[in-house]
Amino acid sequence: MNGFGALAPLLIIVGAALVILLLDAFLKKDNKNYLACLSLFFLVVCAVFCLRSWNKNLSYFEGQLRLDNLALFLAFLFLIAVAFVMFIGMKYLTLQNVPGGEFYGLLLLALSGLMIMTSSLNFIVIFLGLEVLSVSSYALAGLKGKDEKSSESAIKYFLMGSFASAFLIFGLALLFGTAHSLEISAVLSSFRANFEGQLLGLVGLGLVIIGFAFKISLVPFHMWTPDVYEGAPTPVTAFFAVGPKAAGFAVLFRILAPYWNEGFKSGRIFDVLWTVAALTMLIGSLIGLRQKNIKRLFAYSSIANAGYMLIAVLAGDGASLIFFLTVYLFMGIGAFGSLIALSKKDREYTDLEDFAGVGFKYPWLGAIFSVFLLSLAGFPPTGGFLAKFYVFVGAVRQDLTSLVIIGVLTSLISAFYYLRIIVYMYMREPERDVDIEIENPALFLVLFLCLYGVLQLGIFPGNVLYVIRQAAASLF
Amino acid sequence: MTEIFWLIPFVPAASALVLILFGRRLPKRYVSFQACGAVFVSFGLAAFSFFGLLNTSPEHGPLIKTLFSWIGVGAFKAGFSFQFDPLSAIMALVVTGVGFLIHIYSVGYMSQDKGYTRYFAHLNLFTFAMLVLVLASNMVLMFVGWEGVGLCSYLLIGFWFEKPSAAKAGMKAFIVNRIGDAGFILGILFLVMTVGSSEFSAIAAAVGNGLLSQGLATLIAILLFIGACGKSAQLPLHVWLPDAMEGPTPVSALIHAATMVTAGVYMVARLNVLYTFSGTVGPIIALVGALTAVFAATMALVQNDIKRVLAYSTISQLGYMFIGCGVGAYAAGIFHLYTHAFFKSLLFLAAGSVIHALSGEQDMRRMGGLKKYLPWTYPVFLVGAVAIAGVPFLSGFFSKDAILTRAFGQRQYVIWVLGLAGAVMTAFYMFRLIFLTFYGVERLDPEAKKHLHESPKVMTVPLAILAFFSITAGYVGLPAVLGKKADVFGRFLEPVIKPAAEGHLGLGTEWFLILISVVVALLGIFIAHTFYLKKPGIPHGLVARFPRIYKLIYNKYYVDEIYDGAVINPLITGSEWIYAHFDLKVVDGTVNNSASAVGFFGKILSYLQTGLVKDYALIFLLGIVIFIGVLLF
Amino acid sequence: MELLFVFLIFGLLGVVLLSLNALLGPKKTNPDKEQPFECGSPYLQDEIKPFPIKFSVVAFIFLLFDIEVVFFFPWALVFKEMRPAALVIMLAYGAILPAGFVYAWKKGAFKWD
Repeated sequence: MNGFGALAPLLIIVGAALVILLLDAFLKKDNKNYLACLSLFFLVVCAVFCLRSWNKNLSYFEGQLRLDNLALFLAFLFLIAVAFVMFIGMKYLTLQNVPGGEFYGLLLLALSGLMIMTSSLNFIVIFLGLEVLSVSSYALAGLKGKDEKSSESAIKYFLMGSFASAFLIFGLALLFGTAHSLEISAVLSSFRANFEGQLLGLVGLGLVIIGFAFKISLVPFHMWTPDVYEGAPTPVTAFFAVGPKAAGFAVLFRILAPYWNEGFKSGRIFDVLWTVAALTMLIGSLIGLRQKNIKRLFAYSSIANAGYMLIAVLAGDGASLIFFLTVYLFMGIGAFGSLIALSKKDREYTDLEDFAGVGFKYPWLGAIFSVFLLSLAGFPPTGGFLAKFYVFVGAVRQDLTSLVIIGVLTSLISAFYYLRIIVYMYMREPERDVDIEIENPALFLVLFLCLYGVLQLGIFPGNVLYVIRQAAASLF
Repeated sequence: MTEIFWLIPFVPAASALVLILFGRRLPKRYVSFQACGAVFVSFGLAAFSFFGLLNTSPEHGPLIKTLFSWIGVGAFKAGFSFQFDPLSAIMALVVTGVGFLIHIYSVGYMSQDKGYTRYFAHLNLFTFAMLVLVLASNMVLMFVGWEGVGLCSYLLIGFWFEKPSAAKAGMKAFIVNRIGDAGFILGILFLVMTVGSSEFSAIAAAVGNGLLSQGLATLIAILLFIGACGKSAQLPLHVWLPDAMEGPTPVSALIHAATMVTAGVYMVARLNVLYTFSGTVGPIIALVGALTAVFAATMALVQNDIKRVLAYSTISQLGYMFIGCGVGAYAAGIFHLYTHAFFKSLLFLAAGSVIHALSGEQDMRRMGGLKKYLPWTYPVFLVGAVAIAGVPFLSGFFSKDAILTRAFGQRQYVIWVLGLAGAVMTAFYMFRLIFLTFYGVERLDPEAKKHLHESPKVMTVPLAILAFFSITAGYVGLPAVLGKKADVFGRFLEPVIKPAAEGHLGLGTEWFLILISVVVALLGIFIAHTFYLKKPGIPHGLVARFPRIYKLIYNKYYVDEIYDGAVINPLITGSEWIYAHFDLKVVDGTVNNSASAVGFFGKILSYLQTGLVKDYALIFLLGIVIFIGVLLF
Repeated sequence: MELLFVFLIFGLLGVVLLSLNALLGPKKTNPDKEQPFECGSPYLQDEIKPFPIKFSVVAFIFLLFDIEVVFFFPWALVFKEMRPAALVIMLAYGAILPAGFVYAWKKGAFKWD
């Protein structure tokens, strides 16, 4: 069904981004919180439009933009993620002297990129979305202009990102050369016609996968992750951890999942990605053990989690993947939000040592943070447990048992570094003076919502799973 | 008929949540108002739904309200769903009604405690869990409530956790219950495996259409009964209940007399179809119940702690309820549960009032002659004692008689005799308690006597209400000799509990049985009167005459010591040995070595993370070359 | 396939020879030899210092606007087929560009110092 409604959510977000950027440029107010409120208003309007399009399968631009249920569900996730990130960022910006009202505008632009990526079935449109996302991400990473680490992370991200984009677009060119079209389905049918003969097409597909593998930090294209996560302002890091990752995996799933059903399962793409998944989980959990900086540690944690998500892609298990992404949204933002809570004027506490004794000094914060860490480590009854459980069960059904064994072992290893933080919080005497700015209602609201989400998804996932199954049904 | 009944458990839950989150900032007066109010609203809802139920014909089947589907693994589904039928209606009314009175009483009893808010939060939480237990429409949700009440019981027994004995008692209750729960979980698992669902309706259907073989049904029934033994403190898992008296007295009244401990009886009655079908389990339950009834009653004879007497009495009365279930008189078992809830919580609360008056004294050897000081507590205590002793025209008489008559009718004469023996002892130890506490010479601590005072109205009024019900509650289930229609209670339960083929007892036999019950009760009272008022020398003489037996009973048959010697100490020494030889060397060695190996790899790998973009790009490129290379060759 | 081997062999040969050189070659150094310039006069500064690149922002903005104009070519090609729609789309596109320009101006991208 055609309809302008398909374009509306995107238009709202892009329009909001422009309005907010210009407002920030013209009204030179010191307090930028009004921008957050305005953005939130637009996000809610957009969410309403998304809800109304549910089950309608709207499309626009002759099918280039397609709001199927998956796109809508993910758009909804992204809206929640961006709203959360804005909330946890509000106080942070003033505390850490981040000058930007750009924060809100750029986040909205990145959001539009995410939405474009997930609501198209055409490679070139997806690429367009990816670039919109990337360019805004580079700027977001360097938002703390005066801070060397932030600038470093922005430059590194930019350099590596352009590097990856170059390969991605080269891959697109090769794909176009073989299939004479960049529709995902057209590429698939050209492979269907002659799989073995299409060496160039295979290279093209491989390069495209690499382009996305960079964005979702699969080994060995993950090297930027720790540096960028460490240097970027923490709310932005939280966004990087959940937003681009979710979009990247959704797109990767859209591209690859049909191939597994085609009897290419013995195909090489599968084998290579199998290895990549194993490597990603191993590297993510092993190097994570060595990290003393919590932000870097979370970077490796996010790499390891990318490995688990890749298992779901390999198993062709869309519902589990989306459930994992949903849970990851809440626990990721919750964990980073707890990190932000542990900061004061001009000072962030991100060393492991800083966490000694925090559990007793700030019992509520310690307890909430512990729940997120337990969820990341995959303990029941949190959402993290169920997410991993569903992914592993789905993978075992598809005979990926050895990969699941690696997955279980690596989650054991990574459980160690999550639990270490809890041990520091509750079993170490504090060595450094840590006092925090407690007056931060927006942040605590988000923490509370994330806590609710993690527990709701861990204990009563029924309703959400029902919606997710509907969304995943639109994949095939 | 509205479906509003699903709200019943959530009102106390909401109140508990508020108290846990914001309790510290709320004024005490508001806390008591909210906690009691929540339970009262719940009670109102339960009563409303109950009257709705009275007006609907039983053909409708039970009302089921599924809030959401909770677990869906493969073919197995468990909904978060509640069921309202006569059985759960009675249980909900007892829980909220008696619970409400106990909440009110607690306002007075706990008024000086510094953990006031925490106490009410936990009490509300307990009410929620108990209501989930009795309203659940499947075994899995019931298990949630089952564990929930266990947890709250642990929290409330150990409420004064500064006292080591209280903390220890909480642990003991928790651990002993775990043993029973192991059986309970296994039972549920077997049930789910064979029936494919844990909904009560599905279980009944499976029994009906032969999906469940008799052997398997027996296995499941026994496993579930083990769980019931743990929760309802039956032999041999009764050891936790007397220790649980470390908690505040209203807690003992609510949890360890009226509600939680009866969960096992409720569960057996709820699954009566399964138990009837299995056939062989019934006599086992009856025997366990009868032995517990006698065994616990003997221990109650010699206790000196007023609350412990009542604790053993509770165990003994629970034994009667299981006799009822075991001989197929499920309705009579539930009937006894219902009357027991009134008179036993009355006794506990009245004992609490005595303890309160004596500034915490619990030892009956330092009481006596309190009759004139406690003009409110004494009469209600007497009502409770008379009711439990089985004196005619009070509630306990009807329910106990219903059970024993049925046992006789089923030709379970051994059970019947044991039941009678228990009844004599019940009457004896209750009046021993009355005489030691309220009559005779004052043996009070002079310090306590200075502060001696009757409890405030907020405590005595609930006592009076409970006393009223202890007298009258029995009249809804009159014995069959007064006409078939007399048993309103049993007929109300008929949709849930099918009345078994009536054991044909002649009118004469029934009258005879009733007469025996009366005689037995009066005999017990008479002996107590002789021993403790007329000739106080006799008990001492008996003790001197049979020192071994006295010592055996006084030390609770050494059950705790046997458990210590047979299970706990070997476990401790064994685990120490394992810790020293296996854990430290093998496990820790492996873990440490593998941890250092893992750490070593992590170190090697982290050298790759140089921080230089050119290296990153190089690795990226290498990755591409390998990736594409593998794709092509 | 043969071509691949040729590349492989010569590539490996190059790597091997270079590394052999580095391994076996004599290394006799002294501080004078290590200097960047061996021209006799002492050097003045010891490292590469960062220097401001103010024109970079202008260059970026030029690049953006320049590239965006490229989109006019495909637009012109399909203009006849989708007349009114094409005009609307290009108008929207044209409206966004000045917004970016104004933003850059307001943010002081054109200020030289």
